[in-house]
Amino acid sequence: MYKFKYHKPTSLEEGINLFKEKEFPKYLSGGMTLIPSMKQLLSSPTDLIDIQDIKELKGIYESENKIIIGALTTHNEVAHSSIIKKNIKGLSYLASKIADNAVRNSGTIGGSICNADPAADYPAALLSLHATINTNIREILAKDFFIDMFETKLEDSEIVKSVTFPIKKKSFYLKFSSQASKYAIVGMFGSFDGDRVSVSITGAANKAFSLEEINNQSPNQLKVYDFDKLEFNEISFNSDIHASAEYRSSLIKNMLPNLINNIF
Amino acid sequence: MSDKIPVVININNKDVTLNIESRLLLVDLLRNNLELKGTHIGCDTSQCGSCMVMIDGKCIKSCSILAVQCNKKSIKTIESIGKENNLSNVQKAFNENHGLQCGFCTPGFIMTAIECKKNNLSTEEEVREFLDGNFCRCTGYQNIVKSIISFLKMP
Repeated sequence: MYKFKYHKPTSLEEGINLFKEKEFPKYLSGGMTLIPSMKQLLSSPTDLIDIQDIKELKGIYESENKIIIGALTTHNEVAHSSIIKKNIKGLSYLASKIADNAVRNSGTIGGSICNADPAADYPAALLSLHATINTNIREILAKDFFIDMFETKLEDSEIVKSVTFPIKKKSFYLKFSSQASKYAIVGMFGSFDGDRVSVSITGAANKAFSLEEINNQSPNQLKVYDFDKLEFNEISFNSDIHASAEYRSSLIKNMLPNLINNIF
Repeated sequence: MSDKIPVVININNKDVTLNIESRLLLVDLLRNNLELKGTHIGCDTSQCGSCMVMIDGKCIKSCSILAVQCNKKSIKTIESIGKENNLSNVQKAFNENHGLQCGFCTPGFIMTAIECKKNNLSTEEEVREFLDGNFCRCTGYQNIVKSIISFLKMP
């Protein structure tokens, strides 16, 4: 691999100051995307700032009908957490389906959302659950966070500290994945707040999106809804070696009844 | 000033003090610097799991982590699992069930099998899903699954 400098700050302040001093730095979390990208020179930071020792980015907490998940929480920690299983079952299930076990042992929720891969799993859950991303300088709503493929609202040196999820006892994640990578060709997260259902889709377009056409309907309306008539007017679907745009939109229509049934 | 970084890594129950470059991958440290050749390089792109090791008790593909990230951590490689004349239970299970053909992927599968047991997996379905991330190119999955199920049943 090419030469770069490695830093391991122990406080948030130290990490952010290091970032500001360097030429082309990157924060390193679990490294499950960043290290392989650097090996292939798809990414070539001059400095890696390893944030693993920053304690305030760790932990899973419950507070006032919300679950707060530290940015450094690994996918397997989310998958196995009894707090998350109890309060947002779909979220722990989603985490258990990310990539493979070795990736889930290292990869983190903060790293995943900052990378903003259009086929990543978490963005669908963040949108559906109306999560808030807490950074060192502000709070960003999930719907404002994901801007485009691999692009987020984050500014240079800004760092995600945690993600806050409102508790929703009824939720589910359904994924049609690439057999090789387990990335979502179409992934859909559905949640119910006691009144209305909210469905968000990942893997299908340049970024995850809320399925506004059916959101805010009651469960009874959705149980008899004709998903074939969905038009996806504002969505530009991805077309690649895994699936054509038509196949992706067809997958969404065909997976939705199953998702809705599994939420309740 | 030297670009090398001082680290102490516990490898197979022995603290090793090293001065290493930041760009050195864990798998290259193990194989080239420490002559632990049991950890294999298959794809080098995080797919195949031949380079699987345990870091603090959890499986990680050693081609996808920098050696400096392992400072103060504890690593177990296939060399710590058993010896030729004193096989561990998991190795015995692979031996008895013909769980390998060419053997290239086997060290990785053994590490994953150990984590299967730690996670209390029991059914064939669970084991098959858990093996996602380890490739065998002799198409030996049937017997690998059989070996792991047999290992899971051992006390």
